[in-house]
Amino acid sequence: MSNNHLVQKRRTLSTQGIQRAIWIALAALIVSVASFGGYYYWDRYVHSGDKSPLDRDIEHMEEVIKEDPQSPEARVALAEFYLGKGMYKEALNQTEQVLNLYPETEGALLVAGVAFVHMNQPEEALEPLEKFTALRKDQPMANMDTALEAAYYFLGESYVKLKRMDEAITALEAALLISATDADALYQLGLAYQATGQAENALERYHKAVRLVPNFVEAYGGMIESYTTLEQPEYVAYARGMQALNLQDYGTAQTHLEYAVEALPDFGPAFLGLGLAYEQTGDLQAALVAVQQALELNPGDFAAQQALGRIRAAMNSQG
Amino acid sequence: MSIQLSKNTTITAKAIEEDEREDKRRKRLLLLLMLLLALLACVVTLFIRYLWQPVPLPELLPIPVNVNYAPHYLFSIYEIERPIGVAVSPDGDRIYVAETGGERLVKVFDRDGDLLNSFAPPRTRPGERSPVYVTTDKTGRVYVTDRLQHAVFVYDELGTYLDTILGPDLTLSEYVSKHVGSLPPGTVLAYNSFEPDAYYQIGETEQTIPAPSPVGWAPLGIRMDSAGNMLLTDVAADRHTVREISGDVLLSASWQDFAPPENIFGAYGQGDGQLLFPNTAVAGSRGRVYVTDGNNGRISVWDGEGNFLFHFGQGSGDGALSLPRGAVIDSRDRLHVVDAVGQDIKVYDVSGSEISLLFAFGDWGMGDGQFNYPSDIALDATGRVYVADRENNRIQIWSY
Repeated sequence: MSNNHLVQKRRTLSTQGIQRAIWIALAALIVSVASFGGYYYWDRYVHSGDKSPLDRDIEHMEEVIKEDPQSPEARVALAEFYLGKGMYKEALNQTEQVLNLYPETEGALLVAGVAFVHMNQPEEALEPLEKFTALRKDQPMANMDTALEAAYYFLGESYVKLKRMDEAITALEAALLISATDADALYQLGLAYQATGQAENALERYHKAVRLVPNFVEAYGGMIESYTTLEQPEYVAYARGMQALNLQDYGTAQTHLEYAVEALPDFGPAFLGLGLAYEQTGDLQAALVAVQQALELNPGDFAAQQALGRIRAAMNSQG
Repeated sequence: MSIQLSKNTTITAKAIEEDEREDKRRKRLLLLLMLLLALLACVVTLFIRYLWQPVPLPELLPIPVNVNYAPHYLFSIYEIERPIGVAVSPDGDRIYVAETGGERLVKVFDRDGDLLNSFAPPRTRPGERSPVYVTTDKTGRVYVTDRLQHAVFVYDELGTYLDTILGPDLTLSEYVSKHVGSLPPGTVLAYNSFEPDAYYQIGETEQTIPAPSPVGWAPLGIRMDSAGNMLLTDVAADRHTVREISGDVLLSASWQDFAPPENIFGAYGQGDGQLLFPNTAVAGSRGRVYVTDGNNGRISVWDGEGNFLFHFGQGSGDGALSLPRGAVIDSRDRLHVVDAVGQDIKVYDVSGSEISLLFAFGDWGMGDGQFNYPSDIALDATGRVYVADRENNRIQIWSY
């Protein structure tokens, strides 16, 4: 009886020992998997690496400011770097410190205004931007001043957001006097004209904008609204088709543009758009016909000439 | 008495039954323990193997796992102007970058992207040199082709100049030794095709001899195959060819008698078996050679004897190439091709008889992982991918 008890006890202990070993092995396995997984991830996916030039500029300028906290130039430079990095609050913090001491520091005013626009605070953007434009607009090289152009643009965009359209038009026209090829300014101006009931003026700006930036989806959206106002459904179809084309929805683009070319047989841009849509869906023969028609209507259309060359090359390569 | 006996028998039977149950339980637990220990051993072995050779997990596993996924962007090296060629040392610790901007140097970086040093052909000024492609051999020597010098400059792994390959069967050391006799170790040489003399220094005094006449070749792309043979593209005006130069001579200690056996294939043109600005030629495991046929916008495929087989990548659609430049092939026969105008890296499976596009990575832009006219590519043994992102003035490092 006593021997049986001992055997039983030894076995029980042995089972317990195995159980303990299992727990230890399980813990070790979990630790090993976690360690290996963590190390593998760190080694292959996490790398501090070299910093981008912008990060290095920020780091450098932060050091400069530590050594000379009173330097407005350094703070404005740092604010510009923060702005470039999308660190708008940090940029504003720097400009605020400069403007508290030197309220007419032009760089700080511009950066503050742009930062407010990016933070979707148009009301707050107005004061620094108006102050900046007032300081710069009468300087000798004002008509070539790209910073002034930027300030007018962001001022115009802020007015558009605040629905102060007359002021927006003034600011955006001023921006375009300095840089006539600013497609964003043209688009914003289109919005302002549309909102003041001047759909034809708006369309003129939208068309200029898409000539400069052919895939300007928002500008085609503006056209849809203006053509709708003018009750020109065939042009609405054109704008919808071009919008869909640039959103890579080629089926929708073809539907609208096929309607547009039928309704507007003398309107080259619709044929070009349709040709581009066919090209994207691989129907090169149809694309060739449409683009040739676009060129017949507008022989100088550079985009159509390029498309024709591209389509012919693709057809040749397919034999 | 008999009641007592029956009772004892019942107790014994129960004890035996319990023992059997316990035994079964112990066996199950032991089995579980074994399984856990085996798993633990596998994980620890994998971990140790990874520490020994840090390659992507699918390559680490003892059984072949045929998965294909695009690499991910890690970081960039920025201290470069218009990098055009990139190579990695055999141990993966040094990255060599040929730049066409600035001083036109070959810059050397460590794995973390820290600049170690830079070098250029001796006695040349920036306007007289234009390094293009770079490669390393098994011993770590660095070979740099130069468009302006029409030569291949050879350096040791630290960037110390060793010799210049002036033509398919002529090196600078051979040329000088023919004029002045056998060169002792430590002889310093220098050659600049814009100067009338070649230089050598034995001992204290520098001496000159007339520079060798041009041999009429124009080395461009340069790669080494696994056997150590050099694959060099030649874009001289009258011939656009690939030269396969035997590795036995390249790996010899001295190049004072440089006449390696050579296999030349390709000709100038657009037809089958013809090439227009072949940029790089790389060898796959099936003995085939893949040539990035730059201006024909395709990859030209040749057998090991230099016979044209077929080409792919021309035209439109998935896998179509615009301007293929640098290329490299990995241990799984995945051909990585830099498409400079397509602004991406296209990766093809060339392991079988059918070539297929596996994936492409990158697109146009200036952000992380975007390219602006990429030019060359290199792989290291740990699954890192180095891309010369020319117009973004950086080397991008990606990892599988």
